[in-house]
Amino acid sequence: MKKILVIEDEPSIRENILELLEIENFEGIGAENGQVGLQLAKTQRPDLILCDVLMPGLDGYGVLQALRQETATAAIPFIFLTGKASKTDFCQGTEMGAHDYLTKPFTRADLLNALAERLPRSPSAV
Amino acid sequence: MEAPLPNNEIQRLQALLQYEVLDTTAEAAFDNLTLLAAHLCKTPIALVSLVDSARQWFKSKVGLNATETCREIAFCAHALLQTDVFVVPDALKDERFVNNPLVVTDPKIRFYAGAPLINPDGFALGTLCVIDYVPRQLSSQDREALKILAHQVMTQLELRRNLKVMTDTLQERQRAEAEIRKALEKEKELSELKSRFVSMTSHEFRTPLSTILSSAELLEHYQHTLTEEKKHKHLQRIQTAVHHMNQLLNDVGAIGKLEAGKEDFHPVPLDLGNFCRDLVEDLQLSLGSLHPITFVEFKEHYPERLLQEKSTLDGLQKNSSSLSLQPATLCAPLPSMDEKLLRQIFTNLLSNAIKYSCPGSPIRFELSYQAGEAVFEIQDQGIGIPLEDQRHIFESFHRATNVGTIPGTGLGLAIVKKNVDLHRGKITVHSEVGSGTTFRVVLPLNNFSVS
Repeated sequence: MKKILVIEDEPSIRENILELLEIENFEGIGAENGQVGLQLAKTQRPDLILCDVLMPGLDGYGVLQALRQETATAAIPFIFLTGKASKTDFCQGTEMGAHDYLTKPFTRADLLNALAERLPRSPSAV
Repeated sequence: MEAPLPNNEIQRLQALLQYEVLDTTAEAAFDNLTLLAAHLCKTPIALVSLVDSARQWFKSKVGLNATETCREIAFCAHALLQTDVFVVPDALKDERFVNNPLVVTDPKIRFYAGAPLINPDGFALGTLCVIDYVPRQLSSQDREALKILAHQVMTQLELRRNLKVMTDTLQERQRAEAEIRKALEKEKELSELKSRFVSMTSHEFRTPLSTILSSAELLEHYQHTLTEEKKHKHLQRIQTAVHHMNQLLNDVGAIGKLEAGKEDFHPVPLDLGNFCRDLVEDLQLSLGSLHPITFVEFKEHYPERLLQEKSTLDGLQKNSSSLSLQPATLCAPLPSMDEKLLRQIFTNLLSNAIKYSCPGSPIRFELSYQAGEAVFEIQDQGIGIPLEDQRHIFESFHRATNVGTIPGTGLGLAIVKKNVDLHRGKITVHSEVGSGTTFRVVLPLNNFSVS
């Protein structure tokens, strides 16, 4: 079962994503802010990370930057969840190493498609 | 003998005033010309004389101490009447000047030659003149030289005037430029604030929209898998999100109105104590007794004048049950405040006090008076506001870092602040994380001009 880390400060959004992941047979882990998310990424080694951009404290860009600096976490596929959808934001994100963007409000189909595309095909070492 | 006035004397005087040269200090440009005139004509005295209504005043002088003489005895007053050089070869032999004090006594003028200073509009402002103590003749070369020098004096006067006009214009332009720059800065600042507000607002809406979409989709796609409890939870989530957006719209609307200055300000006589009591009662009704709010009014320092007027009217009221006094008259001595705006301020502050503290935790609402002001204090024993956040809490959409899952639009305090400003009052906060928060609102009594 693939492990997905969800870093999102808004409780109802985070819980709904986790619920969807559970029903769709993923192992979902939730983090309520960037700091906690970073920690969980290092300790849990998820197969993919969904991360909100605008969070108080350590924001999505900060999390991404920190992850890319450590070999253990540098290769984990990273998808931004964002309220903004401008092209400049997209470029900034991909330049930093993000693989994809999901713009809120995103549909169930958007999310599942993105996961299908970005999750590594080979079975992960659990 | 006094010289007659030129027939354009009034315009001539006006023209002279344009040059703003009377009673100014000596200037090298003019002194050089008088020196040159005295040298060329070989006279001990040379003057640049300007003739105003009552006197001749010397802008430049060589060989003379006086700065002015009265017009009646001025030789220059005669020179004004012609365009050519006015010459008096021997004053003692000239019946116009034989009794002139300047001739009879010091400086004992005998010879005078004055070239009028004629400005571009044709007005004679004064003269460039040379004077001697002995009778003289003026050669035609000297006459010409004097005319040329007079022309130079006039040129200097013109240059000087133009320079002043240009300097004034430049200063005016610079002042205007500075003001435009300031206005542009302000515009830019406002535009940035607006743009930020718009982007933050749209972000704030996307969150509940995301919740609604995801909950609705979960309900649709997994209706057979989800438990009843879960289904109920999602339906609740959708409704809560809708309420949140509605509140957001209300708050954004309120802020918009306040910012645009479109919020009507209608101060009416208001019994503050009763107002607060009613407000607290309304809130307790809608929230149950979960949060006991205690309201206290301290009437010490209630404005004396108001108390006296009130007791007079109270007395009148007692004795005048047969009189029909207008309610307005009865209420006259009360402070004037806008009830709707006050309601916005204190409903917000009290709601916050309730929202951010534990059920059962007491809230204290105090009203007191000082020096023509009403002081309101709302104190809770809730989660408190971190010091770092205290500087930003009145900004739109700012929420303290310790609010956790407690819902809020982040606009309540921004609305409060703008309302307080509209009343020309002040609001301050004292808070400690984990202990509680006190908001203090000070509003002036009776000091409003209805705009």
